[in-house]
Amino acid sequence: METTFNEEELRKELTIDAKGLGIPSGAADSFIDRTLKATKKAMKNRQIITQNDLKRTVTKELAKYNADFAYVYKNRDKII
Amino acid sequence: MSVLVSVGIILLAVLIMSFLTLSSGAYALFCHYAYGRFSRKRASEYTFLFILGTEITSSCIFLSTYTLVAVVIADLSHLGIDIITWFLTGIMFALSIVSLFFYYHRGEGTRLFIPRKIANSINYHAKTAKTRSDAFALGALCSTPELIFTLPLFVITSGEILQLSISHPSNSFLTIIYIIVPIIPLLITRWLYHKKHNLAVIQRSRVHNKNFTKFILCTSYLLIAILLICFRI
Repeated sequence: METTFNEEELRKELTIDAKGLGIPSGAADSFIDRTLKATKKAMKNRQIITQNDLKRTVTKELAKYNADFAYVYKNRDKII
Repeated sequence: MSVLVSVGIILLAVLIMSFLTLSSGAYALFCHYAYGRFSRKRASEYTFLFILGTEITSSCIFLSTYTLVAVVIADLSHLGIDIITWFLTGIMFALSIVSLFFYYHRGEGTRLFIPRKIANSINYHAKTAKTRSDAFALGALCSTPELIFTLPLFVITSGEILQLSISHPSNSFLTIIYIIVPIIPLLITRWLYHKKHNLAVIQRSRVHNKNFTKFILCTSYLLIAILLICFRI
C-alpha cells in the first residue's frame, strides 16, 4: 500500500519503540537520527513509496545499530 | 472414577485456556507501548488494569455460562443429555483440528486466526490507550475474540463442576482454579517486563514455541473429546 515518508511521525514511533525496549535515550536518539537520515536518502528519488519499502529500509538501517530494535519494528504487526 | 474424570477434564480445560495466546500477545504489545509512552509507575498501573479487564470479562462470561448450563441441565435432565454431550464431543474434535491447522496464520510471526480488522483494532488501541479505562477496556476486548475456542470449554467445565458438586464439595475450589490459572501467562509477562526484558525477547520466544502451542491445544482438545466419549456417553 502506498504511503508517504513522514519523518516526524516515524521519529515519534521509533522513540516510543526505543523507550519500550529499554534503550538509553541518548543512544536511541543517535540510532534514530542516523536511520531517518539514511531512509530519507533512500526514499528521495522514488516517485512512489510503499509501506513495505519504507519498513524494509528502516529495518535494514536499524539492524546496523540494535537487533532488538529492528526486530520489533519489523514484527510488531505480526504479534497478534 | 467419575470425580477423577471431571478433575481431568477441568485441568485439561485450564491448560487450554493458559495456552491460548491472544491475551498474552496483546498484553506483551500493550506493555511495550505503555513502557514506551508513560513513566514506569503509570505503565505498571495501566498494564495491571489490562489484566484486571481480561480476568473480569472472562470470569463473567464463564459464570454466566455456568448459570445457563445449570438451568439447562435442570430443564433437560428428564430427556437425558447424551445428545448435548455428543454435540460437545464433536466440537472438541473440530477444535483440535482447527487449533492444529488454523490457529496461527501461515508465515512469519504469531498472527492469529482472528480477522485482520480486529487484530488491527487491538494493535491500534494498544498503541493509543491513554487512560485507565482504555487499559481496562483493551483487556476486556482481548478476552472475547477467542470465544470460539473458550465457550465450548466453559460449557463442558460448567457441566463437570455441577456434576462434582453433587458428590463432592470441591467445586468452588475448582471454579477458582479455572478462573485464576489462565491469567498466569499474563502475570509471567508482567514479571518479565519488571525484570527489564523486552518485547523482542518475548516475541522471539512466542515464535519459537508456536508449534508446541499448537500441539498442546490439539492434544488437550482431543483428550477432552476422548474422555467425554469414554466416560460421559
